[in-house]
Amino acid sequence: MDSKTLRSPIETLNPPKAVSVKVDTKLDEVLNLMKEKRIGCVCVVRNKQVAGIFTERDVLKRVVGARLDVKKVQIEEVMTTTPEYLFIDDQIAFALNRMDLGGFRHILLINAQGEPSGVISMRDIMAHLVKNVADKN
Amino acid sequence: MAVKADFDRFDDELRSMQELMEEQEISLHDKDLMVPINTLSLKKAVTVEPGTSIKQCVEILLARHFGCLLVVKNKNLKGIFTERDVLLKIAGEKIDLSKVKVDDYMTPNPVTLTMNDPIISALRLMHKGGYRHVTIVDEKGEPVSVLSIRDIVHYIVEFFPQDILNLPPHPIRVGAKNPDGG
Repeated sequence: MDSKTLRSPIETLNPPKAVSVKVDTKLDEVLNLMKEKRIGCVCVVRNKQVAGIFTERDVLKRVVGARLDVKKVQIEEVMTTTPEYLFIDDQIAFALNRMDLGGFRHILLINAQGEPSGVISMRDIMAHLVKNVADKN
Repeated sequence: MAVKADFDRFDDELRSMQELMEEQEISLHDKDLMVPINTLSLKKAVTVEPGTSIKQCVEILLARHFGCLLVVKNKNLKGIFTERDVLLKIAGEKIDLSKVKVDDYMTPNPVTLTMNDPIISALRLMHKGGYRHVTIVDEKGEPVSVLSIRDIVHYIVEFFPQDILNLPPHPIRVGAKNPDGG
């Protein structure tokens, strides 16, 4: 990993596609989806545009202990609005900057139309480090 | 002619800027991951005793802005309880959080490393096991802190301060891409 890598577009890390749900999806469906796919975050969309993000931290903050009826509550009511996002061709350095200074474990990646195109996580950065530095030789 | 001279001067400046950037190129090699974990400034672990209710655990996680708790009895590590356990085992279930104990929801006997182990061991453990946290114990085996994936990200950032911290507030993008319009 070097300065040049950090100036490369996030796309070069092959970030996974974002798992998206619509704003009116019921909370229990989203929780089941996260458990089933073992993912820490989902992207919430309205008319194909990013409306919010829902993460494990939101589960802790707004769901557990809040006595919500998970079959009735819509994801829109418990998501984090105006999430941090970057474009897929922005530099990797920006993703690391946001993760470290902003404390975001996941950053949504969107395309020019404002539609979600992926998500980059601290885990992806770590995987890159293991593959390209730790296990290189 | 004056315009051409301006362009030449601009080209020269651009070239010297590029040369300067190349001189400052930094590389992170495997040897940089061989440094011991104690070189990272890790936070002290937040601990609870066995028998603590899940309600209390959730409150502590929220108040301390932590993603995990260590369950410790008489300085012995019994288990680790993380945000992931909350999602997988508690969220959406009809559970009275004040009545259930952390013992039944924690991951017992988690893998540990010591402060003298290299960072690379933590990386491999986390990558292979899919963990976000590794418990760090002292020479007596007593838990002292937790290394989280955030600490790894922070290590990279500190390694490349000029590339990651000296950035404009927003990426410079070619063409109008702002979804909110111009």
